[in-house]
Parts: sequence; structure tokens; C-alpha cells
Amino acid sequence: MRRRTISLLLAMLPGGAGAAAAPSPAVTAYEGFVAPILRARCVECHGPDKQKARLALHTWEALVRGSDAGPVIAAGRPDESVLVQRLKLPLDDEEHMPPSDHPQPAAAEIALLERWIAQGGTREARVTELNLPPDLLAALGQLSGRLAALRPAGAPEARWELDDAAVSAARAPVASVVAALQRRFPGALLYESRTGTALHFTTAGLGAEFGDAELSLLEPLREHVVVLDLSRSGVTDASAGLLGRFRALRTLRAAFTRLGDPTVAALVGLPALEHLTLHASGVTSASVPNLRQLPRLRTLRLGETAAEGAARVAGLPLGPPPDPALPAPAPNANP
Amino acid sequence: MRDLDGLKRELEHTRLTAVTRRHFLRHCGTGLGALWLATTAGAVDRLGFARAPAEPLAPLPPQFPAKAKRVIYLHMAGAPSQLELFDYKPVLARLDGQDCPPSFLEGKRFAFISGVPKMLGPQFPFHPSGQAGAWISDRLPHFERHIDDVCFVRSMRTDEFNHAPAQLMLHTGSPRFGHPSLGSWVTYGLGTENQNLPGYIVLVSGGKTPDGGKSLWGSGFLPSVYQGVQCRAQGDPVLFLSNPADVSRPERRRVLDAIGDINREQHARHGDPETLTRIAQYELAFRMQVSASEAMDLSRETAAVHARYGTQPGAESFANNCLLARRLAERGVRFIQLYHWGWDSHGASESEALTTGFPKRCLEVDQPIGALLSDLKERGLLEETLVIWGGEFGRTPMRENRNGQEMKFVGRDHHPGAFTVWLAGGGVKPGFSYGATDEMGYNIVENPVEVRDLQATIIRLLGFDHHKLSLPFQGLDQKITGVKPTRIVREIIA
Ligand code: HEC
Repeated sequence: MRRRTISLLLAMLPGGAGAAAAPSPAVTAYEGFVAPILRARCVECHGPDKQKARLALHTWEALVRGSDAGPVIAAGRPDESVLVQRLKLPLDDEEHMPPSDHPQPAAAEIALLERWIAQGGTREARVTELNLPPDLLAALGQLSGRLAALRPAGAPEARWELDDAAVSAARAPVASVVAALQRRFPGALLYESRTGTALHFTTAGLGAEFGDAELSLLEPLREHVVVLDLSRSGVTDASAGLLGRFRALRTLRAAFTRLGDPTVAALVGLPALEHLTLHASGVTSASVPNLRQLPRLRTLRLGETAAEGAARVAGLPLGPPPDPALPAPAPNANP
Repeated sequence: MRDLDGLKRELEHTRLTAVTRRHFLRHCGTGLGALWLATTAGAVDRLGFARAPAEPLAPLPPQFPAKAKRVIYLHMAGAPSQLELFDYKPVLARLDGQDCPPSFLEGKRFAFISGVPKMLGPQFPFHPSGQAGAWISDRLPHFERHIDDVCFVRSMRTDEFNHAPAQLMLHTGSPRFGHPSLGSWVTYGLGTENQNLPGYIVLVSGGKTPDGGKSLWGSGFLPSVYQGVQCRAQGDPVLFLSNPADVSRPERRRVLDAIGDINREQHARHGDPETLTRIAQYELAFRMQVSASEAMDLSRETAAVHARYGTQPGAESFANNCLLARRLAERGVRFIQLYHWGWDSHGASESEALTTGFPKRCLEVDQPIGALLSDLKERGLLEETLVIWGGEFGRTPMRENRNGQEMKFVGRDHHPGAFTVWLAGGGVKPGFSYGATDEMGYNIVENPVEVRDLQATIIRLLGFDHHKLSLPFQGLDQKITGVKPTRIVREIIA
């Protein structure tokens, strides 16, 4: 069902995410908005995977069947339809649907469902036959955009719902290198999420035994590694050129390493680098002009280096200075 | 010494239980211990992944890209008073010494308060601090330096008003024994980056186990490899980790190989996946003999570092544990759980009174917490490390009056209805306060956060939907947040 959720949303969005394409008037109400609303809001719990309260809403047949307690739709009588009743309960009511920690349908979505039920709740009724008032017609126009915004294309929540085949296809170009490196460096290399292609690499469990030769094995992944943690590793400036080619890097951490000014010079072109930690590394104040050229730098850590003072003067985004010794508060200070 | 017959009997017993268990599992689709089976026999769990029993701690990506990669949880056992630290109540200060309004007492149960207690104003002066002007008392000057990195939740509440059940609730989602702790769920879901150290390490200060006992870091119905490993500051970091005096490391290797062969044979015969897990655990212990000792060796830190933390070599102190926590975070440990103790400020004795014991507790934790936050920040780790501080409940705005009598020392009773926790790093909104209590600090008037809401939020920060970090057991999709409606506190996520 997950694949279907997404492809349906895409089908409704010829202009891409955000485009508000109203379903054509000739389409049935069920296909035009009832099924899309239920799929976006309810099918996660009432669908092929889970049937909470033994109710499924992902097909016409399931919707009509209702739950073990009976039908959830009373044709022509929205107020007596359990489905509508549940939607309209106060948010803090335990029986409110969808449960309060889930994204909630907009008032217009509920109104559309009510209207459809009021007009008979059939599978055949066309959108045009419902005589929607202007406000609901307008809402319908924006519905596809709103449902898409719920799971914007590429947003984390949406991505993990992609199916396995799509994930493997996306990862195919690097999969064999990733697998080999995962065997070689247990625990160090990982995809950022279950369905993404971005990679994180850390030497946290490897320490000083991980040096320039080992880092060079990551070269084929240079477009994919977004977080690279080399802290306490044995990597040196001999890897500067290679590090400068990791163009996807958002975070580079190299505390307690021998990396120095040549590496910083090589990082200058990195377009996405936001967080750079060179605490207790070999950088000096000579690196400050280069550091100022990193376009997206948000945090920079240079503690215990010869660069810190100059970087502070240059206004680079360092944290607050290290802790001064503070006097202990008076043992007993009643106000 | 056990004789050979004894060992043989034990082996036979194990074989028989394995057979019966297998039989049981084959004939009942779900049942006790069906866990590994469920994840290995193709019946994939809600996360859509199968954990290989031979690599139980291999890292796995979260569902969504996440800021937080690891957790350092600073639990203050006994429940520190929010009214002396973070929840400033000037009205309560004015009403100090007056009778408690009856509306506070109707239908309420207290651990010790009886009759009509008196209101008790804050015992220490408060001031606004940081860019957001968050109010804080004068007890935590080192921590206060980081106030712009911290997110306060002042509207926590829980269902339990005694220590053990409330601690269990906070750590495992249930006041009863037998449920996996948050750290177990997290290591189950994410594994761990450092394959030479446990993924979930517990550090207890002063050798005192909290009231909830070791179940607070238990794995419940998850496989035992996900339980917290308690480490000590002195001697072997993990009990029985080093080889006995007359066993060399190569010899230990040979013993492990032999045991491994037997275990693999067992596995071939009975197909019990727990056997593979056991092999993996022995191997981890062998690797840990080297790496755990290095990680836990505080003498490798400079004198300047020790001065900043206020550590003393060999002490089982909270300060030492904070420094260890930083070392373990640097080494990629997934979940680091610290316990401090002695926060149960009833006022029944000097050592736990608000005016005497309490400030001492503050002194014990303040400097090391400040140093820990500084170090994490300096080393670029705070952005991916979620630090959480809090107790199991809060304390009453009334002064405790055990048996209706004024007590010798000043204290407050247990209060499940309102308390404060703070979070920092790991994708939490910095310099932010969420939720509010009434003028007395008694009831929540804005944005209540249940314990399960906090748990769901932590799990979300680590990249999971708490509904999905679940496991079928005893016919239910078990998850730490249970079955009641749960809300991810999205407002505190950056
Ligand atoms: C997060 C999961 C979840 C989502 C999303 C969800 N539900 Fe439910 N639903 C449940 C659970 C759990 C129950 C059973 C508990 C109850 O009755 O409140 C239930 C029960 C129901 C029932 C009662 C069935 C009966 O016969 O008693 C209806 C009707 C219902 N849901 C409709 C919906 C609709 C419509 C949506 C989407 C707008 C929706 N639900 C979304 C979890 C969910």
C-alpha cells in the first residue's frame, strides 16, 4: 500500500509537489477525493498491513464492509456514520480518529467526506453531481497539494515508505563497495536512513589504526558520504586532496588528529559543509582566510589549536570560549 | 568444583529444553521466546528489517535521517525538586508558611503528607538567564553557562508516585517489571557503531542502585544482548572481564574457539538462534578485554580535564561517570545511562533536606554536567548526542509534614503531577522552554507532556516512529509507549 500511496499522490500532481491540480469533474468522488483522503490519513492503520478495530479502508469493498461492529458509513446520513462521528470527536477524546498524535485532516477534508455521504456515498457519484458549494470546490482544488504536503516528495517521513526495490535500485551503484567496507570496518559505515543513499562514516570504533590508506578505500563513496567522523584516527594531511573531493559532506569531524592547514585549504570548495570540527588538530591561524570561504559553515570547533584566537577575531562561528573556573555557590543561600 | 556428571546433566537439560522449546515454537505461531524466530523466519517486524542473530549489535540505519545518534541520559534518582532549580514560582514564595488550599488536597494521594500542610516557597534565589531569559536558581552555575543550548520541558507528568514504579515507567514505559528499557529498544533498533564495546552502558554513582533496580536497564522480552551493561570505575570495568591470573590471552582465544565450535554444533542440531547470539556475546567480551579497559581508563585524561570535571581517580562519583560518558560517546557507544542518587528531599533527615543534602547533590552534579556539555560541544559531538536530565517525578509545593507534624528539616513530598526535565543537543530546539505549571507549580496549565510522550519524542529524535520501533510479543505489537494515545512533542524538535 505504501507504494500506492505515493504513486497515487504523484499521479494527482502532474506539476510536481505543491501544484494544485483539481481532479477532473468527470472523475468519481470516490476516486477523486474519498480514497485519496482515506489513503493519506487512515490506511496506515486501516489497510492491508494493519486493520485496527478490524477495519480496513483501502479498497471500496473494505470500506463498504466496515468493521466487525458493522458498517462505518450510513448512506445519506453522515451524522449517523461511525466514520464521520469518529472524525468529528474532540481531539482529546480517546476515540477520535485519526489518533491525536497523527496528522489530522483539514476541516474541508471532513466536510468533503460528509458531503459525499450525504449525497448517497456511492462509488459511482461524480464530483460534479455533488453540487459542492464554492468553498468546498476551492478546497478540492487544493486537496492534492495539501495531501502532498503531508508527505512531501523526498521528505523523511515519505522516503522510508518507499519499497525495497526502489531502495536497492537507488543504492545499486555503491552497494558492493558499501558492503565490502562494512565487512572491513565493522560498525563504521552506515546509510543515513533505511531508505536513503546518503552515508555516514565514523572511526569512533577504529581509532588510530584507521589512517590515510584506509581512508582512500572510501574514495568511490565520495559523492555519498554526508557525515565523516575521523576524530582520533590516524588520518593525516596526505589525505587532504581526497577529503576535498567528498563534495556531499555536511559534517566533517577530525578532533585529535594531525590534520592541519593543507587539509583546510583542500576543503574550501566543499559546497555543503556546515559543521567542521578540528578541535586539537594541527590547524593554525594560516587557515582562517580559507575557513572564511566555506559558504555554508554554521559551526566550527577549533579548541586547543593555534587557530582559535585568530578565528574568533575573524568572527567565525565558534562556540563560547572554554569554561572559566566558577566559584561554588554559597552552601546555603535562603532568599 | 562441579563434577563432570553435573556438567553432563546440565548439557542434557539444555538440549531437552531446546528441543521442547523448538517444538513449542513450531506448533504455536506466537509464544514465549518467539522473538528471534519472528525476525529470522522471514516474518519481518514493523520496521521491515530482520536482525541477524549472529550480529545482534551490528549498526542499522534509522527509519528517517536523524540528528541524534546517541543518548546520554542523566537520571537523578529520588526526584530532584523542580521548584528549587528550574520552575520559578514567586507567588509560592509569597505564600510560604500559609496553609495549603483545600483544592490541592481533595482526592489526591501523597506518599507522606497528611492533614493540611503548609506551602513552601523556593529555598534558593532565582534569576533569568541566557538569551531567552529562562529562570534558574543559583544552584547550578556551571550548567547555567549552557542554558542557551538547553530545552526545558516544565510540564512533565507521570502516573506513578513511588520511586520504583515511577523509575520503571520512565525507563521502560511500564510501572511493572519485564519490559525492555529505552536503551534496549534503541540498541535493538540501531545497534552500535563500536563493535568492541557494548552498545548500552550503565554507570551508577556511589555504587547505589536506584529503587527500580537493574530492571531499569533490563531488556525485558528483547533478547538479553540488548540489556544495559553496568560498568564500574574501579578494577575491571565489567565484572569478570579480565582473564584469571593463570590464563593468557591466546589461551582464552583457544577456549573461545572451542566453545564456539560446540555452540555452532548445537545450533546446527537445534537451530536455536539464541545460540548464535551467545557466540556473538562471547566474542564481544573477548574484544572488550582490550577496548573497554582503554575506554574506561580515566588516567589517560589530562590534569586540566580532571580539574574541569572535578574528577577523582578511582572514585565511583558522578563526576567520574560524566567524564566516562564523554569517552564512551567519543567511542561510538549508542546509549549511555548515568544514575545519580540522593535527590529524595523529604526533609526527614539532614542528608536529604532541601537546605542541606540537596545543595550537596547540586554541587556533585553541576560542575561535571557543565564540563560534559562543554566537551561534547567542543568536540562537535553535541549536535548528534542527545543529553537528557531529569528525575522520575517532581516534588510538592507544600512542605512535607509527616504524620501531620512539622518536621525538623525542610523537605517536599513526591509529586507526579508536575516536574521538569531538560534536553540538549541531538536535534532538540536550543534555548527553548516548553510547557508551564500554575502559580504554585502544582498543576500543569500548558502543554502537558506524559512520560510516553517524552519517550516517543526521544525515539523520533533518533530517527524512528515509536509505533514502528515495536515487536510482536504475547499477541501484541509491543512498544515502549504502550497503547495509550501518545504525542510526539514536535514543538521541541529543532
Ligand atoms: C495510528 C493508527 C490509526 C489511524 C491513522 C487511524 N485509525 Fe481509526 N482506529 C485506530 C485504532 C487503534 C482503532 C481502535 C480503537 C478505537 O476504537 O478507538 C480505530 C478505530 C476506528 C474506527 C472504529 C471502528 C469500529 O467499528 O469501532 C473507525 C470508524 C476509524 N478508526 C476510522 C478511522 C478513519 C476514518 C481514519 C482516517 C481519517 C482513521 N481511523 C485513522 C487506529 C487508527
